[in-house]
Amino acid sequence: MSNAAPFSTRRPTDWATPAMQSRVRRRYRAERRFRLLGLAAVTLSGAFLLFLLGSMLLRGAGGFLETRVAMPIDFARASLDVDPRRLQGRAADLALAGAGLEGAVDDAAVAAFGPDLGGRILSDGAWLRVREAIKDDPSVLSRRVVMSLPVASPIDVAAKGPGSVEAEAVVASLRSGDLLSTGLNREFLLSADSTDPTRAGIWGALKGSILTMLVTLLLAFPIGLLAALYLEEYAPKNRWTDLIEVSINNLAAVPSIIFGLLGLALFLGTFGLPRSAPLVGGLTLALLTMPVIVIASRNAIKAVPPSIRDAALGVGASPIQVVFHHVLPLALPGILTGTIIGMARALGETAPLLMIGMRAFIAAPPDGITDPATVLPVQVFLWSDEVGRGFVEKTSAAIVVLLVFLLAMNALAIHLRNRFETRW
Amino acid sequence: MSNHPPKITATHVNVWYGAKKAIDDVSIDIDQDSVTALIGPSGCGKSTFLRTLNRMNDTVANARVQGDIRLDGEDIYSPDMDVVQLRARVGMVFQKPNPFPKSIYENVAYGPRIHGLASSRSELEGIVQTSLKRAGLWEEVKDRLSDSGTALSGGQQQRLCIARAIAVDPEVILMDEPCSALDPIATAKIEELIHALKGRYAIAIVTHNMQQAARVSQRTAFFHLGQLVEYGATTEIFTNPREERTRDYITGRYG
Amino acid sequence: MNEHTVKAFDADIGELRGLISQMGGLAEEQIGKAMLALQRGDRALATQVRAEDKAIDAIEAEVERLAVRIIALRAPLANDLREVVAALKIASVLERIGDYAKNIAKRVPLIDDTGDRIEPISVLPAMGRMASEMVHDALDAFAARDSDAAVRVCESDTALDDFYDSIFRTLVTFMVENPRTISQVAHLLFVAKNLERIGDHAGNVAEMVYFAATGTQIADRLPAKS
Repeated sequence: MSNAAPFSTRRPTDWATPAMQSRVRRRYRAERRFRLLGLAAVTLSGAFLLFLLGSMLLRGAGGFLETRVAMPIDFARASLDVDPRRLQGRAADLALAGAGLEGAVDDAAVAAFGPDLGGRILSDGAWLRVREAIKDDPSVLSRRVVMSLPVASPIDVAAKGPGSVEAEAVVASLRSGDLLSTGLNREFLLSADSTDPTRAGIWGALKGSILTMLVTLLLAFPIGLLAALYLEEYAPKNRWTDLIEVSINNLAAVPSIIFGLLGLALFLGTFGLPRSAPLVGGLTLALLTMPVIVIASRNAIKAVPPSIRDAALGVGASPIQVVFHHVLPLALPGILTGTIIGMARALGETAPLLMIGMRAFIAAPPDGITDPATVLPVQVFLWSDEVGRGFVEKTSAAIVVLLVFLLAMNALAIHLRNRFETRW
Repeated sequence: MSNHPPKITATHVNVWYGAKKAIDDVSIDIDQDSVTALIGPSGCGKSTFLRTLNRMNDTVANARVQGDIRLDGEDIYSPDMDVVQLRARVGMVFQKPNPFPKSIYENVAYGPRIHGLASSRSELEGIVQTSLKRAGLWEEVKDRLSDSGTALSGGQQQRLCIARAIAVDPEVILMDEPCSALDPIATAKIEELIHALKGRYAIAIVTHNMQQAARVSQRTAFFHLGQLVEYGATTEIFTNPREERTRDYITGRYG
Repeated sequence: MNEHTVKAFDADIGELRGLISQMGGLAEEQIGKAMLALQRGDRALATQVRAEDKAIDAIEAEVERLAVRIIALRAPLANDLREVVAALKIASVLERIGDYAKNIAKRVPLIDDTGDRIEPISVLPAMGRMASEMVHDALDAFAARDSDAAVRVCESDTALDDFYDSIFRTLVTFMVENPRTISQVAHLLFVAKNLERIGDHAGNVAEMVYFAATGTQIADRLPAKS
């Protein structure tokens, strides 16, 4: 049997003919074109990302800042009836409020800026700053001091950019008196939602998100991982497992709002869990995240070379030892990547949480997973709906916080992944 | 050849993959103190047969084994047989060197550890050292036991795999084309190692390299299309095979 | 027999067999010529025989070279291996046979010196033909890989031995009766011995052919060969 074809009948290829040359040139051109297209795609997506981040940072930056006005307060004249001994510890807040501090601050504002402007220049929360200052140093109560206090929202808006005509005029006059200053709005990072944009904070939503994510992770990761392991390592390959596989793939593609409805019906309706709670949000998002984790984990497990399994089986490892000693450690980086993707999706999810009532106005950060709470994307959604102009920058600032949270989560996951990878 | 009863007796073994018959009525005895080579063209079932001897075929979906395979007279396909224990008794070395992506020490220590063969750390270290010595790798790796096993050269990796296999002190070692991915020097080292291990372990080796089968084995089985064509002393098979199919294969006349 | 998958292997084996055949033919021819020279007292022919022995030596060297190359490059096994080994040994045997023919030719001038005919010289060509035939048969068996023919060659060696015994007695008797011719007849005795050795060597070739063809030694098959 001879496979060798006779060579002599064909003329040797002439690579120098014009047709050949132009074919080569065409090939190189196609190559270049393709590379440029790819580069253009990368540049475009990079530009989008930059634009998004840039505009959010630019617009959100104001949300982290507050405008303050310098205002003299003469505590000696305000005749606050406070027992200095009560200014220690917890009772101080109550004592100062009871002594009419809020009114004293308002009076001081009227005294400083006149009856018209004095009534609306300060933020509703300004007197709280005064309270903190007194608690820090009770001796001010006997003196006249000048304090920088946060201004009301319309003036704040005008100070940072174009505002109403009236507020612009106030800002201009204050600027000429060099009374305005800008500082970090610590309250934004430390407090919860409020109807007054100068007092609204992101911490409540951030904490809500963290708690929700914790619940989601604790549920979706182990369940998704176990399901993936079972399907890959143990389940027989038959029509039923095929059906399960198809169902999981479909589940990953189901619109998230449907999960919200499911959560509403199941967790709130059937199980009677508390409305608006991170527990329910976490459960709902776990439903959403699990298929993603299962699919990613299965792929990662599939990618473990069979030779490693053979090697372990060959020295007499039991199936469970093969899985936990060899397959899982090797698949973990891939599984973690899938989990990050799933969690990131869950973190940005709004629709299903609206369905289970996490859109309520919650003025206090949640203390546990059963307390009413909201989450970052919902907070963004809520603030973007607000009429007050002060909320515009708050919305952007909330988005920045959301993005930072996302990046932090990804960074943590990448760090974990690298650590697991270098272990081998 | 030997006065002992055979280590493994396989009688009338048939293997199916789904509807396809991969092994057709094969009967072979594997002796305790000799090396048995399984040769034959690709797809002839020699690897499949080898893998039935420690039930590695269990992991292949829809593989079905019929017939009687006995290790020291014990039916390895009986429901009472513990597969995990069987694989500890019948170790395996694979075609592609497949060390775990762990340290050299961990590779060798893994088997003894999961089977609880060492009661203390020092005992485990002793096992690792003996196994590496027996596999002829000790001198090359003794100063870097904590290096990754995958950082070794191909030949060293394969010897590491052999060390890993003998660390659990098996009775039989099955080798599935252990040198097919190695250069001639590494191959020679493995062959020398097989020589050194002969007698202590019953060894069955699948190989495509006939010279290798001739060099390392005392008995040779020629498989063709799932059947055992000829089984006999290696010298006989390679100088004067009885069957025409064997002769055509080993002399390079195979279609 | 099927062809090898590697065609060049077949070509090599073919070349080796061709060389052996060629060598055998030459050896046969040398025996014939030497006997003819002896019979006729043809010194020129005898000289030619002595010269042509070099050709056989050259072919033997060629066979050795080729056989070593095949072993090194093709790693022959089973019947291929046996055939190469047999060819190697047959070549050296044929070279010996050539040497015997040369040896016979060397004696031609020594015997032909005297004027009187030595009668027993007339039976030697028959023995020469018989030995030559054995060589011929052995090589035919090699060409055909015919183990039965090889066995027949070995068996016919007994007849040649008997022939030698009778010639030996005849020549000794002749020497006793004609003491003058003792030196020439002694040469004839050597010629006869050479022919007997050629027969033995032909038997050796046949044994090799048998081994190459069957993988077993012919001794197992021919019990009690004297």
